[in-house]
Amino acid sequence: MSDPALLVLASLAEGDKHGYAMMEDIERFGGIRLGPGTLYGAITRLEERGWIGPVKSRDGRRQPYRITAAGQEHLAEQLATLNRVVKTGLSRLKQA
Amino acid sequence: MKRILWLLIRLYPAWWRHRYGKELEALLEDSGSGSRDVWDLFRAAMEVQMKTWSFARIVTVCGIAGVLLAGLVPLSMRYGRYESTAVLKIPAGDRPIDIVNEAAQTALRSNSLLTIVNDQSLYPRQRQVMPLESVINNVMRPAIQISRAGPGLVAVRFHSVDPSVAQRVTQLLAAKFAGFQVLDPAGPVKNEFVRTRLYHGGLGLLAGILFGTVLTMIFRRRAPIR
Repeated sequence: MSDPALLVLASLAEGDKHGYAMMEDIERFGGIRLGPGTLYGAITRLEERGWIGPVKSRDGRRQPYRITAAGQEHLAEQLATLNRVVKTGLSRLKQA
Repeated sequence: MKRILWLLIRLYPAWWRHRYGKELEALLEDSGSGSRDVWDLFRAAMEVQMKTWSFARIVTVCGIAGVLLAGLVPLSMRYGRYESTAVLKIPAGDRPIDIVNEAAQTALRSNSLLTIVNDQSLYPRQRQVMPLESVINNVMRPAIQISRAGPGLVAVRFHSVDPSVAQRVTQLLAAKFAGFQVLDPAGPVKNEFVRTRLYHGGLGLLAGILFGTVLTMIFRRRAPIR
């Protein structure tokens, strides 16, 4: 799973986070360090689609984001698809 | 490095910087970004620009960039900007190519060229920084062209930054082709520089347009979220 948008959604599924917190979280659970440009590219696209949104914050420079209901739905669909792929792949590997 | 990263943020469109610029700056501060993020930021900024710009704008900008870059090519050329041509008639014989090759080898011997360089006081700046042999091999020889000019004819060309030098040296080179009849002893000097520049400019424009089209296809075909 290396789609930056999906990684951001998975990170925000845990709770609101700003850019740096997402970067660290993704590195921890996914083993992938998203570059700042890649991360903000994904944030831009996700916000455009209404899958994440900014949360009011006192620190305007470290803006936290929250996953929306539509974003959760999309993430669930994507993860279900991935899950099917993983299960199929693993079972076929066992048979081989 | 920080300064470069900050400058790269300027590559994003103004609307994007207004919305996300401060956040991205904070992220760069917090994450201790360095050289590894230069390409990432550049690519991401270009991706946002490509999605914001119209196809016509991308192609126009790439085309102009191509013309500007290609315009620099003639400036870096070793040979000069003016070209003079002499046309010679090849003496009768079984193998005209061999006759021309043999005569050219004699005419373009280092000693022969050395005489021309000294007599005409050619390449004074280059002679100060490199040996005469290098001047002849690396500067003078690339400025000489010998090619077919039609049935039984051969053209001798010389390029120089000075039109009168181009003409004079062409005449001297032509005279060294023993046994060849000189039909045109070095005609009017053509401004090779303008022609070359136009040629490269045209190529640059085409390359720029092609590059812009490919760039648009790459960035726009990438679905943001699958």
